[in-house]
Amino acid sequence: MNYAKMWYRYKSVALGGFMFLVIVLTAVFAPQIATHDPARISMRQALRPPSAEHLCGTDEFGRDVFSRIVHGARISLSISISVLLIIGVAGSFLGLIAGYYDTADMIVMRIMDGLMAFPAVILALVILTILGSGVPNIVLALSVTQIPRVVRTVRTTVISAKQYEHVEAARAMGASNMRIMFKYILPLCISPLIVRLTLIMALTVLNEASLTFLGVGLSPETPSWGTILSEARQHVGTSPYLILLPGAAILWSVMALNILGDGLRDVLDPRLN
Amino acid sequence: MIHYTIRRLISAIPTLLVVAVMIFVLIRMIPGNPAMVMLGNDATASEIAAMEKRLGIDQPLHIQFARWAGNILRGDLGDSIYYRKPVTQVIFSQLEPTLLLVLYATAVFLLVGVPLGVTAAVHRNGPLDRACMTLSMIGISMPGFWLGLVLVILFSVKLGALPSVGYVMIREGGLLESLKYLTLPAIAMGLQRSASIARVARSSMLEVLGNDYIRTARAKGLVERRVVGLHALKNAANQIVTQAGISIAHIMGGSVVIESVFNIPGIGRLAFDSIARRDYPAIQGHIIFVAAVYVFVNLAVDLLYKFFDPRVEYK
Repeated sequence: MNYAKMWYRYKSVALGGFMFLVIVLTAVFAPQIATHDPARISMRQALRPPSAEHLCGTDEFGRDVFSRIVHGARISLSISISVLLIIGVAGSFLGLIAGYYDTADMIVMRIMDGLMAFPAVILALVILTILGSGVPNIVLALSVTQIPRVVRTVRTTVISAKQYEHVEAARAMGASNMRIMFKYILPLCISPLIVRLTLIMALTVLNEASLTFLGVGLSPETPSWGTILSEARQHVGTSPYLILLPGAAILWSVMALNILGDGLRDVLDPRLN
Repeated sequence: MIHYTIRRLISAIPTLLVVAVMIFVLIRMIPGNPAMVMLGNDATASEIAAMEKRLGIDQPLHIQFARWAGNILRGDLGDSIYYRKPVTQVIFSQLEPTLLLVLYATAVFLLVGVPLGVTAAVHRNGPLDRACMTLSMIGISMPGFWLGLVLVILFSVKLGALPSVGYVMIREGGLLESLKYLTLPAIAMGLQRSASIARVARSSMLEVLGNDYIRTARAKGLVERRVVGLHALKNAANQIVTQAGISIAHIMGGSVVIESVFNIPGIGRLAFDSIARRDYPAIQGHIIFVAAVYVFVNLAVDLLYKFFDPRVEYK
């Protein structure tokens, strides 16, 4: 085995995977990494510049910004992973039946086209206004805006897979539609699905930050990267350093997922581009 | 081509109808009654009932929808509850900053993204290519609103060179003054989108540069700049235009966030405020408007193909 060649092939996956692992570990060990309780308010310590005690300074309530960002990784990851699970399962199912049955295709794809024509942020805003704030609701709102991409990806694969010989053979042998869909076609969708979901996760992290930055979805006390930024924004004139690290955290995670997604695409599915 | 255009416009109707039904149903699920929002908390039940009747929201849902959809087809998006003016009028009065911002950001992403992608393609796998692609990976992953804030710190707070927030209408301060206010938001949105343009430009240029006619152009002694800039780029343009269309739609949708960062009174800001105010007709009108723009941009992209590639035929 040629190691140099292998490294060349997998370097994006390795780099993106490593960057993502850093976020995952930060989220898992947040209580150990954080130097302070992210919720502890101490007005005497308000808006201190970065120091050995407060690595990124403190916000207007004297909370330690570094600790809040570390805990923000938990919020960001739990929201984006939940979104992935929901749209992965629901989107694959809808994509399967849309690609397999013509009538379902008409109905499902019309709805998906409609969802795609919506500006994602506004759709999420409206849904959150209906449901109110909270992590489960923001998960649902983001899932609705992202599900069309999953459905499209799976549907495209199903439509071409229907022509494959092993699928026709299964049909000739009298396999039921359910069996063909789930046993013979679904496995073919896994690679493009993984690539698509990784890139969607990057978008989800971004969208979650945008929504909470607008002040929708999560209460201001929740230490999410968006809410930290929207608070820091009030003090851009006096404490500009406050906005740097939360933004860098978002940039780091989104970039990790984008690099990982690109790498996985090159490895798993060279046809996709 | 006219037939094609008409058919495309007709085929957009079902999509717009789905959007209309969805937004209509969603909006009515929002808790809170616009009549109560308008009258305040101390309104009596009969006042609320009278206001509901005046707004037409006492009718059954399907009748409300039929009336609303019928009006849309006649170009009437209803009256804004908050402004007490036709929604079309409200949208058009706030359209200028958003439209200018979209155009400005489009100019930014084309002027930055295309050269970046072409440079990367010409220096394929070289250090310049890697530098361009690393830059665009960072750009794609950058939250636009955060970039906006960083730019505000750099150019407004530290240098005092550009205004940090707000907007001046063209008729009040002239086009240049308006553009000054939109420069930072346009760069924030444009740089982010230029990253995806650069990636598309690179891959489509790579495809084109491998063609025989490029070798011919080189063989007959054309300077490299002409080969790349004229022969190759024109044939790579279609994919770039497609991506540009997607980017414009993104910028339109993202205007909600960026207009809020920079406090620009555009239609994105209007949508955000309308949701908070329970101004049903304004939200519905805005979404229908943006969805229609989305359809038109897609159509314009398809029609532009012919310009860059005369082989394209519209059937």
